[in-house]
Amino acid sequence: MADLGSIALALGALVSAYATIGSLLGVRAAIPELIISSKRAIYMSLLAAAVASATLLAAFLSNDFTIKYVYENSNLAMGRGYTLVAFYAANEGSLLYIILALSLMSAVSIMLAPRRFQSAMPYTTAILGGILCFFFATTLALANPFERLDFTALDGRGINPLLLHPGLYSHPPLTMAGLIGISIPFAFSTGALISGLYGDDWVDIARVFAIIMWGLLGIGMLIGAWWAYTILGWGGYWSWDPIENVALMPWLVLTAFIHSIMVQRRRGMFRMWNIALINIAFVLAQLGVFINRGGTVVSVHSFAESSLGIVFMCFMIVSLIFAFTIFLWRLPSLQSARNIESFLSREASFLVNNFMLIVITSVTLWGVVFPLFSSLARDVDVSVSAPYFNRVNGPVLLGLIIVMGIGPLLPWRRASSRSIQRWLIPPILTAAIILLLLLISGIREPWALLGFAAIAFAATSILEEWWLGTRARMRNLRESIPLAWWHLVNGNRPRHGGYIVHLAVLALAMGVIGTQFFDQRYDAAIKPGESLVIDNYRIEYIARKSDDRPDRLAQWAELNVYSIHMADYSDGFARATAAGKAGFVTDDAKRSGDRLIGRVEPRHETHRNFNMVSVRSGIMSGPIKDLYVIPRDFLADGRVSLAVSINPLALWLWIAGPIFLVGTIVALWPHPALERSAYRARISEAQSRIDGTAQTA
Amino acid sequence: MEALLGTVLALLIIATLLYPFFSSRRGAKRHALTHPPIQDEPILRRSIYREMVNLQSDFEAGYMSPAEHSKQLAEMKVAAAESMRRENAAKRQMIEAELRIEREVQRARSIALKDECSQE
Repeated sequence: MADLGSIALALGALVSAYATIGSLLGVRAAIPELIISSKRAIYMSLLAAAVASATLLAAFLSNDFTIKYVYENSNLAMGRGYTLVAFYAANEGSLLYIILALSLMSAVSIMLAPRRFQSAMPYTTAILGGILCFFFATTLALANPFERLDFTALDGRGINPLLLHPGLYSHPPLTMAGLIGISIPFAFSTGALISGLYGDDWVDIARVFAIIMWGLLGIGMLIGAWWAYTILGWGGYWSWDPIENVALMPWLVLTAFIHSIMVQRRRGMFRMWNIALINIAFVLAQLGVFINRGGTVVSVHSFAESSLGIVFMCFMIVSLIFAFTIFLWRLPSLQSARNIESFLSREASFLVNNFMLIVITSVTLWGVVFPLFSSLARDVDVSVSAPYFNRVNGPVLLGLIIVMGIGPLLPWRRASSRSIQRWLIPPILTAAIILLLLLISGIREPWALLGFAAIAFAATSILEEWWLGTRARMRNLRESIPLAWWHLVNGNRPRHGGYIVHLAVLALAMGVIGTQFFDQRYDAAIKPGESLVIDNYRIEYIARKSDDRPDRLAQWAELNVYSIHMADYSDGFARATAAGKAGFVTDDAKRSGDRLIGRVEPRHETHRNFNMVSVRSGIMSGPIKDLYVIPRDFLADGRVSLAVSINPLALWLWIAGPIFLVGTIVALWPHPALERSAYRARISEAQSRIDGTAQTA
Repeated sequence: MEALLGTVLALLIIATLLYPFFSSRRGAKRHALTHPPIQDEPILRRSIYREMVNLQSDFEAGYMSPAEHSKQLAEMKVAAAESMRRENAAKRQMIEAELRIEREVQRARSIALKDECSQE
């Protein structure tokens, strides 16, 4: 099987090189046959990638340990279900996955390209072919997943135990596909620039693919955060780790792009800015590939490290120079016909939003590259940790939420300050009421207060938008509330899909504020029969269980969780408060008010082949707070050492995921053909109504 | 076996890449280099109509005044009319070109006929 895989990779490299050279020659020498043939070469690169991927999967399924990659990432004991995870568990396989994802997206995008884009298509094909050729050739020459093993192995080493988690079916593939997929909008915008199509011909297809990549990256990062929360055993979900940051930065720039591209679609403005944004996102995605695969930055995502850093760094630099050389060459032709008419307009609010997103990206980028510069320039190893990012990015993110509340209220072109004041009253009132309620309930943390007020402000502005639109339809078109709302959302899906995504961001912000400002934690070792009391929970240690297998030793603690009346334990809480602790240990019999609400079983798994311990936290989730139990250690005297946290509003982090997905799908959902055919009728009907109104006036 | 499969894959790829050079679909080939407005303009207008519908929805939802709506709609209508004008011009050019070719053919035929008659 190894030979077939390597042949497929070599053929992939050749056909993608042919796609680049053929397209450029074809357009230069005006040979249409060569252009069409080059386009087909992209489809053939997909075939080559699919054959190579199928070969690797077959090797995993047949336990072909003559292949080094299969030997290093699977064993006979590994469940068949984890074959897909094993496929991209290490550098070589994940590169093959990237090739498969990119060739698939390239083929689909070329197939869906609008006909009016045809004159730019050869350049787009050439760019996509060039990127594909780089990945095929690098994988074949430097990270070949079909390399043979030097010795005969009867069993493999097994999969990295940290990857044995349901989230790993989706987190790496979504994030990798999202990052590499930014090549598609980049290829379309740059292809348009090279060919001299300065207009908006590339906008529609680039927007669709940018939103898809943005959605994949967003969902991928959220699932990654969930994976970290449940398996890494440190109690958090986002650590501003360099690998997290290199996925976040292109996502932030894409967020700016999908906002400002709407201005280009609607008003023909921000042409230059949009191309600059997509170029930045593409280069940042290449930075992500570089840092993930052999960069000098230390990260928990070490499974994809390799010695390929220099190759990917060179590719990133070439991408940067290429993208911005083309951009600067065509800059004089990219002037927009119109300018912003007023600061009180939707265009201006998009510009402010873009500015804030770029600030956050720059701050994050500096935090990522500073350790590299320090290491190179001063030979001093430094690490930039979470407090830097939180302190600098926190206030800007707060500002972004406020802009998220103001933006939807502003119309295109200009708004009168009177109408703005009228629209802003409900959100400001709601924010003030929330602020007051939080102050009354004893919350004094200023940033948290501001954060919750900003969330209330933004959420109310979205609801107000929906209410005003729904009410207008109810009055004008005599529709019921649900129908009017449904038609409102359907009438402009990109806009209202965006609002749904805004709600997801607000849910996420709630989770972040809750877990950052109001978490409690207490560490203690308890023996069977003892309980640990924190907040309104009593956690009783019942027994220790274990399961000894050839490849791992699993140990877990059975813990009963009781909901308590805190007044019943006032003595213990008084002692804990005096000692500056969040909880205490007790061996008293349970109180009459205690109510059993469930059982958690936090566990340790010691993987002998990897000399590694994986941790599964015991989590009891609720909309208000999570009880989060980390098993620190199983001690020889029978005690278990626990780190117990109360994570307020953590569930909202994960609720944001499905809302985000729904919003993205709504924003992308195409107009059905039937609706398209009814466009003109609706428009002329509306026009006659307006004309009638004007005549009456 | 693997070498055979690899060879089949390589042959399949080569055949696919060479096919356009031996295919008779001239129109499709020509389209790879040019983008005739006759085919492109309706697509462009569809995108303008889509924006018109978005605008209409915004207006119905009370996001803008009738005057603002009319102004923006007028801009879009101008763009759509411009697209229509380009398409008609392209159609006219194409018909003229076809007529020119037809005239050339007729002239060639009549010359050939004259030659035949003169020889007879």
